[in-house]
Amino acid sequence: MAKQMLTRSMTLTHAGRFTERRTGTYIAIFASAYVSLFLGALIAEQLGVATATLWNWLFLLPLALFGIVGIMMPADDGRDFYTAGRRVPPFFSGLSLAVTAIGGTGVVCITGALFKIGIDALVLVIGWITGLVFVGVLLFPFLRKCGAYTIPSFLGLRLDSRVVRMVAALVLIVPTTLLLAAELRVAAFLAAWMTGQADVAMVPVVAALATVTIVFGGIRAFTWTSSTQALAALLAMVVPATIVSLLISNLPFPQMMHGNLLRGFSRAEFAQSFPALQTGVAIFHMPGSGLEAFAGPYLQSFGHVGPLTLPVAILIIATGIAGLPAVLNRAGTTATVYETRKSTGWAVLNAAFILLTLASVAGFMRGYVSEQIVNAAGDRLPLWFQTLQQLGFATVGKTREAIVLSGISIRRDIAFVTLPMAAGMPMPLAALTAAGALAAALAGASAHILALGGMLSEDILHGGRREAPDDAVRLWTGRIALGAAGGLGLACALFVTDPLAVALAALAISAATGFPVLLMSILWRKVSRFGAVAGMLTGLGVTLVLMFASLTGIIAMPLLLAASLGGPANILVLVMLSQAAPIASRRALEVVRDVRIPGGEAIYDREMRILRRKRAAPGL
Amino acid sequence: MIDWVERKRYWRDTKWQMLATLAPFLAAVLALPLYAEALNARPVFGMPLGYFVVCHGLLLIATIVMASFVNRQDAIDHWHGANEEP
Repeated sequence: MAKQMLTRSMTLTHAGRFTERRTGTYIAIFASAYVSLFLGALIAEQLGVATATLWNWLFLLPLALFGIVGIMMPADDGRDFYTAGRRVPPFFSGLSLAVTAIGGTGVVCITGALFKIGIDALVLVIGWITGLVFVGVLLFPFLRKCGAYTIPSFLGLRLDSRVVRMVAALVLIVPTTLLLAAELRVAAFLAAWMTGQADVAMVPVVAALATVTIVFGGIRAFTWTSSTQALAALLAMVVPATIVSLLISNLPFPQMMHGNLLRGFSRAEFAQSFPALQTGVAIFHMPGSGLEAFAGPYLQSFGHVGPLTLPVAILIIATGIAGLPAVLNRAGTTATVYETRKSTGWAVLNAAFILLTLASVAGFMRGYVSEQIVNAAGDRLPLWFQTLQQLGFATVGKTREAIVLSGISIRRDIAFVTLPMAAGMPMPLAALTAAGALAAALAGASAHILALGGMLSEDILHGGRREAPDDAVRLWTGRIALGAAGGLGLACALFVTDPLAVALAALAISAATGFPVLLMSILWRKVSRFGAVAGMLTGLGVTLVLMFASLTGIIAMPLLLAASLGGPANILVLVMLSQAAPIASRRALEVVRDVRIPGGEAIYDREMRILRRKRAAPGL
Repeated sequence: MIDWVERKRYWRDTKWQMLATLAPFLAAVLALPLYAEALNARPVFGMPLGYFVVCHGLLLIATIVMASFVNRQDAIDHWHGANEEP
């Protein structure tokens, strides 16, 4: 009977083309409240309200708005909790996807890396955007057709194996936890910048915030909270950069106008005989989070990333992004496969705009340093730079001589939030920038908590069962798992010193474990469960061994490049063992055939519907 | 729902579409950054050409590639009757 129902259901055409209609209205209300907050702060500043008070209010009130949005969106059942009812409009899904894929680590650290080392840091920009293209073309439509709530669940369904599901969850927990820790650390840094507290003291605060906003509503609450956070992040990037662009060129297009500035300060760097770095073929060095002097001209290539490592690093970052559970588990939130493809189109457009704006912020900041600090007398520095010096974020060489660029040290992660101060903007605009970056970091952290909680609950706790438990049980274990995921992230974040280094290591692990298996399981129907498990474990093992050897000084290999051996080892083992093993089960072959065709009901929804009917009428 | 023969044709066209989308994009993404410094001597829109190509150019190419993929794949869905709203 169940088989008949399955066959009949395969002839159904998806009829639930249905999305949240009032989304635009709700987001507009949030945007008005958010902008009013900062306009009110501008008025309060003129009325003489103390700056410290304003910083505290502009830290707390946006967070309260995000929290309200999250708590007001509770989920009623498992489908709502894990897929937002499959009714998120493509634009908002794409906006949220772009901002959470880039996250606070991307916003703060990519800007900082561009600011410190210039054109070589574009490897991060290119890697990130290529990763989103991979997601849209290779994975998202098929994951949506499958409809599984988590990525290990997809692999378990596709390969008809509970072991694959649990092993995939255990493996993918590693990069997800590392990225969560990096996001929480960036969020804590920004919270500390706004409140004047210590970084470490703010880690529990941001971890609690990132968890509370999603704990009641799961991915439904996350989708709307992250959309509002994305809006806040966009305002934080666009407003100061546009004002600076108007100041220097009279045109409000920072994405284009910063290019003119590059030529100017590059000529100045040349005139000052700023020494070029020695190039290397196989080097990969991103600036650290501590105080490091500027090294190499902005437009010099191959001083930090060699011509051999450049394409490899781009591919590793891209496949790392494309293999992240926090990105991929959102495939199921849109109504149809076509809308899922559209959502990735919007994600790439939004991400391109964001990354281009970050490049402009970095260019403008480097221009201000070149214009205001270089050649200035050491005891006559602008107020914003003196503030950075007092806070320990910047130093210059000898104070009584004219300053040269190679003598200036500024912390990488401070570049993004310092632009409004360097441009002489009012304090509320500096707070708008910091609050937006914090919003992006919280969105990224919530995405990873959601992915981690989903894997802990669905794949590790319930993954060994033949049949999924009742909806109420799944809902409550899901909520408890989100709390546990937040706690795990908090514990790891306390040990993070360089969020960019941790994020790149996480992407390397993701590239060597999740992406190859996911891709092969869609493109190659002969993938066996044994091959998939052995491939993932080999990829993880090789990558971790190389990372350990690198960290202990046995080999001189950047952590990111560990995936250049781990990923191919994963694919090699997977292919060899799949060829040797007997052909995949009949059910696994049916799933892969069905996943490739967009029409019809999502496979997981169909299975759940049949299970519900079976429970309602056990005799059938 | 499309029949088995049509499924094979649909999957073959989908695979070609993936390849046609990603192969030129990856060629641009992996090759162009290698020539950035050499191109920087020439200005375009007031900025160094190499920087423009690697930063603005690749981001623009990614956006166009995705938009094109979404439309072409939807057309393939319709040709084979695999679309969700017949």
